[in-house]
Amino acid sequence: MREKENGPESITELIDNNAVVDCQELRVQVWAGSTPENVRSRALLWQLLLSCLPQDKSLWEKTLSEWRTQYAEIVREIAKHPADSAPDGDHPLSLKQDSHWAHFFIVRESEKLIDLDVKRTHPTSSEFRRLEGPMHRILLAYSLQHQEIGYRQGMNELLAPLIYIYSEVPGIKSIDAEADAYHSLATVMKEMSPYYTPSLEALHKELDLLDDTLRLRDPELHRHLTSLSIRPQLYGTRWIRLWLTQEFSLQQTLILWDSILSVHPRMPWIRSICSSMVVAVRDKLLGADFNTAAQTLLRYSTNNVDVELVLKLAHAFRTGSSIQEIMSRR
Amino acid sequence: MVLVLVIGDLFVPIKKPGLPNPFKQLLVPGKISHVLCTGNLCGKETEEYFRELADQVHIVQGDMDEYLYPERLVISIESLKFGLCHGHQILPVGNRAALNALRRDMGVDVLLTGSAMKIGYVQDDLGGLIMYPGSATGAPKVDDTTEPDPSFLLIDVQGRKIVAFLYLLVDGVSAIKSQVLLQCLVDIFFSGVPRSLCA
Repeated sequence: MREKENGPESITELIDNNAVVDCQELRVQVWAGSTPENVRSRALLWQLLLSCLPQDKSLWEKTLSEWRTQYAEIVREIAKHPADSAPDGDHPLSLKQDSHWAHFFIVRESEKLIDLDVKRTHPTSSEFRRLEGPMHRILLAYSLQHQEIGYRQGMNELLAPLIYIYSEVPGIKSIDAEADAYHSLATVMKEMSPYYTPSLEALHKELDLLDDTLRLRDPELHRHLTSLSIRPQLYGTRWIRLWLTQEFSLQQTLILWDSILSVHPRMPWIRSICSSMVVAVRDKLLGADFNTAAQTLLRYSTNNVDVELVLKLAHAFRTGSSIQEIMSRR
Repeated sequence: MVLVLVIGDLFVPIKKPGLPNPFKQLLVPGKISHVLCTGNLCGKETEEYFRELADQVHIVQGDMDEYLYPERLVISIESLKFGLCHGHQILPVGNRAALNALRRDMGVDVLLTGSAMKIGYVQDDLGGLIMYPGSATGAPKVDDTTEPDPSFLLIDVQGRKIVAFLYLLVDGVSAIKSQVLLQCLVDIFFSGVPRSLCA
């Protein structure tokens, strides 16, 4: 970490005070524990770390305008009715690939599933009920633009923090926040799509690595969990696929996402965080039978673990600090 | 947007073993909301087939149906009233004036009928429509030896607007001709004042 004479710049300062944002410095600051000071800074931070926004701020207007126009066009396409758009020769029962009607029915099927999942996203939060319309459009747009993967359950949860933060930016137009969230989701999905394919190969590889990580850091805990037949395959799929959006409160998840976004490649760090989550509840797990242990991990949010502790443990693993030390200090 | 399948005079299994395969390939569940059958299925298996295609199935009595169905049915879809009646009850068979009278008598915007009629439509001077899906299996008419091309109608109903698609199996085997038969706004005034309608 570079030392600055008058102390490190805040996230907001790093973004606002320079014509070209130093993303590496942003990453360093977040890594060191800095939190964006406000919603606007977080929204910009995430889009910079995802490389959606370029470091050169003079290019921002053009970049934003491009993808916002692109999104508006995609949404317009979706809303077209085949009766108005279909060319001669196309008909409602057509099975042809390029048939507007066939496409319409595929869209309708996707929509049913998306609708169900959007309504289930953060079910108790009134903010998310307001965001159902935008979420529905974004997910539908993504599934149509990426027909090789389509819509899969879980994408709604990855979208949730993005649309939540972007739409809270003061003064932003709802449709612009929507376009920005669409673009960020598409970027996230470029990395995450291997974990959303029907073949679970990538996911299982990751979960096996998580098992190894746990065995290295906490052999006693790993032995106990293995004896109970509790392996990451049981609890880890959702953690990895959803970038831990279901395991902490929304505010804590945002802090976790700052950290996840500050690293590239991400998976090793996400694995570190996952193994830290398990270690953080080792007291509960060591004394437990299968049912209690499984519940502890499957319903992780009920443990009310502080995300700061998890991040401390994850950092400690990298620096070789002792777990016991961290756990006893909390 | 509601898709309505208008189909009839199949005569399964009396005269024909079943729907032609090209038609079966097209008629899949999930797209059609209503099946309106003009009659003469004739057996139960065809009714079961229709019930797998759509949630709403309405069938009227043909002159050779094995089971009993109502003689006439009125079905409201979107902003239009559709009348369903086989037509063998009308004499002389296929008489235009008599069919017009039937449509007015049933109080419907569009009368769907089968019996002797080939696929097509006529419009009366009040703007009412009479549409015929023909025989979905190409079964010959009562006193005829010639077999018509198998056909059915698919109507896209939006409010008072309909777009009717004609599906016809030509060359008896695999070539399906499908085209827009008719596209118009159906607007009927029963005051006797004729209105020009097509959009």
